[in-house]
Amino acid sequence: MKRFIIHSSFFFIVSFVLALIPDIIITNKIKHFAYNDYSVWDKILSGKMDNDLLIIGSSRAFHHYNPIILDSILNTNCYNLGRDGKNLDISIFIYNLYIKHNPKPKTILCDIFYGSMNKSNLYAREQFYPYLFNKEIYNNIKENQQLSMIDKYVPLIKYRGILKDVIKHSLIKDTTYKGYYGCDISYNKNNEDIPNTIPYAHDPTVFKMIEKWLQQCQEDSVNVIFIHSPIYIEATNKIEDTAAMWTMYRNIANKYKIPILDYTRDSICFDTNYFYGALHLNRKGSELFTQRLAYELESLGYK
Amino acid sequence: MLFNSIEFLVFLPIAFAFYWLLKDRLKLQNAFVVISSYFFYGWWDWRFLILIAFTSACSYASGLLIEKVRTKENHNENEDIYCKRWTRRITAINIVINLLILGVFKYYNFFVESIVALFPTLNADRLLINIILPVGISFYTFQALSYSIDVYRRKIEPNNDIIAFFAFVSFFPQLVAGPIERATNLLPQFQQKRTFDYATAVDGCRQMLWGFFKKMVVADNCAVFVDQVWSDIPSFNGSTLLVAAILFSFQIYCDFSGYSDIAIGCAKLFGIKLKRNFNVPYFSRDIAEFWRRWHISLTTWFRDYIYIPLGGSRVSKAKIIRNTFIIFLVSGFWHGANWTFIVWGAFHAILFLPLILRGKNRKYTDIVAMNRKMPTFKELLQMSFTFLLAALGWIIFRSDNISQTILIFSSIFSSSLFQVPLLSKSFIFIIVMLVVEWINRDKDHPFQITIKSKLLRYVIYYAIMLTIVLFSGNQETFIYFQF
Repeated sequence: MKRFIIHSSFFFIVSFVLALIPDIIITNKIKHFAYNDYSVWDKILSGKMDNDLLIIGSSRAFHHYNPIILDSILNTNCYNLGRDGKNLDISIFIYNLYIKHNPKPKTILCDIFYGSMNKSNLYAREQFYPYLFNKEIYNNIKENQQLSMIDKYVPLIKYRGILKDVIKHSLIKDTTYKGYYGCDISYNKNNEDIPNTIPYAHDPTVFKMIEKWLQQCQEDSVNVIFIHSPIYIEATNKIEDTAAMWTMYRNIANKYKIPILDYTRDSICFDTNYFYGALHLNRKGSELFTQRLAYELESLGYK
Repeated sequence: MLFNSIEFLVFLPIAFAFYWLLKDRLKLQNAFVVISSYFFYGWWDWRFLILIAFTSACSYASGLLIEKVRTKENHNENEDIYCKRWTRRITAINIVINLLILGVFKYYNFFVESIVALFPTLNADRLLINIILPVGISFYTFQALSYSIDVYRRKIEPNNDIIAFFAFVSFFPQLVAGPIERATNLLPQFQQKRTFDYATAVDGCRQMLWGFFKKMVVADNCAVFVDQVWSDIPSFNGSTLLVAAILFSFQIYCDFSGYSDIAIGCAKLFGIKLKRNFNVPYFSRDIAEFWRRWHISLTTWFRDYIYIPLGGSRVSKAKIIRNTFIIFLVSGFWHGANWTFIVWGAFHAILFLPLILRGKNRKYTDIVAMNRKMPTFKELLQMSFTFLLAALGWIIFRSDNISQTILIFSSIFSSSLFQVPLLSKSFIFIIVMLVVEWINRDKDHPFQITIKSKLLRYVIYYAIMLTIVLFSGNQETFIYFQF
């Protein structure tokens, strides 16, 4: 028995150490991935960010809003907190974390689309792995990102099934600027798989979360602007029940006195030269869109 | 509690430590087995512990009652008849009670739905009951029943040690998905002092590791592809549907045999030897051999308690056909309350009948390619053909309903079978699994490594652990939990 306990303990300790070493190395590397500006979490926690204008939303925010243009036209200090594969539930979390450690912004540009009010998917969830022992991050995202005690305490197991993605993300060079990533890719239908019909739906828990967040922004005197950035017209036509989507956004905007800027019928939406896929602008498109947006914001007095 | 959960990772060493601390006090050790097993099961839903306790109590009481009737001195023929009559009645009552519980929890709604389908005027909503299927109910019910029947048949003496008996029914490694143990094998092990054996415990760990690999790497990765295809069948061509059927064949095998390996390996840590449940079934040369190697504990249960009492194969041809159909239909129905399982059973009965009628059902009782590294071309063809038949059967088993089965078969047996199929990376893991199982096909379990080099052994263990950690799928539950 003694022999068995010694041998099995030794086996498990060696296994744990052998798994822990690569786990620590990979997890620390992730903190510095250029992909989707993973270093933003450390920047937020460090409390050294001080931006007047914040952009929140999904990958559409991440790829569409160029802070260089916004900074130069609006003479502001902007940061793009858009997250690839994440919706407004995670956007609100990241914003709350931001204001907990950094000064509040004056204005938030909140990118909306048909999927904004759904729960975020698990894509690129490795960005949270370096923070599994950070209570304020882990406790808020564990349910949303389906992270368990196993992921937290068993080394390496959290990388199951996503190693390929992690390797792919690690190879992306650092071309982000203040959280923005411009895609230098030409349009191709196959770049984004769009189904024949795009269902519109919203999750009631995310909806409640947004309402609570908007109330908080009102109390903090932070301006929020809903912006539906361009989407290729063919994709727009495939969205089921766009009227319901707009009614929902308009109702909530009216309730909290938020302006909505709709770019779904902008001339950009009719030209594939500005897109790399049906849902995302390429760098050329995003620069043109950000410019138009900046001038519109300027005309509305958001300077 | 699932084997592949962090809770079990904590539970097992604690249970192991306490169990062996009590090694010199048999009663206390058995009581600990019962408590830890009930805790293990209750982690899922403590309310259903009452069912296990009730099932155990009924079978235990039936044994005691039979003993009481038998110990009365029988002086004449009449008293002997009286004794036989009462032992039969006691056994029958116990069987009826247990099957009634099983029927209510597992089959009631199925019967109601089937009757309503025949008589649409009946109001299904008023008759259906909202009920949860208790995990593993079919397994522990059959285990408890086997004791009662064996006592009646005088294969085992009635047990007077209630704690040992409750430990026999609820022993946690095999409680929720088998192997379905016989009282003749397991109960005596709880009645005698267990001694810790280093080699057995190490072998148990090895078997558990292999079980985890099969479940978490092979089965759970196959599940991703299979679930994707089954969720949108019309979108896939016949060749992809066949690939999905093949993958499901490996999914269900690795899921269930993986569970069995973990259970048997885990029991070895506690000094208990459980029955083998799978013996490389996909290396079978005909369907009869397949059934001798697949879910052995259930197959032999049906053989001993249904098939042989019906006369087995030593009766007229008409009765052989009847018996074969009964055994396979009951086996199908045991798996769940759905017509697909019954059709699956009938499908296998049809495949089995030609062999039994020609007396060739026991043609292959040895291990394929014994004392050879590779099979002959004929053996390879036989194994492939048997596997293909089993895979077609699994389509019926996996389908939600019969019309879905028909849809899949009509797509597979169409020109789209010759289109390029979608493939899955799971085949890499399947090949690894098949190679290891082929090499060790004559061993007690597929991962009984006999490599002398300690270093190489440990490299293999770590490689498997690393594969489990990095390539395991996300599906957590075991398919057979639902049965």
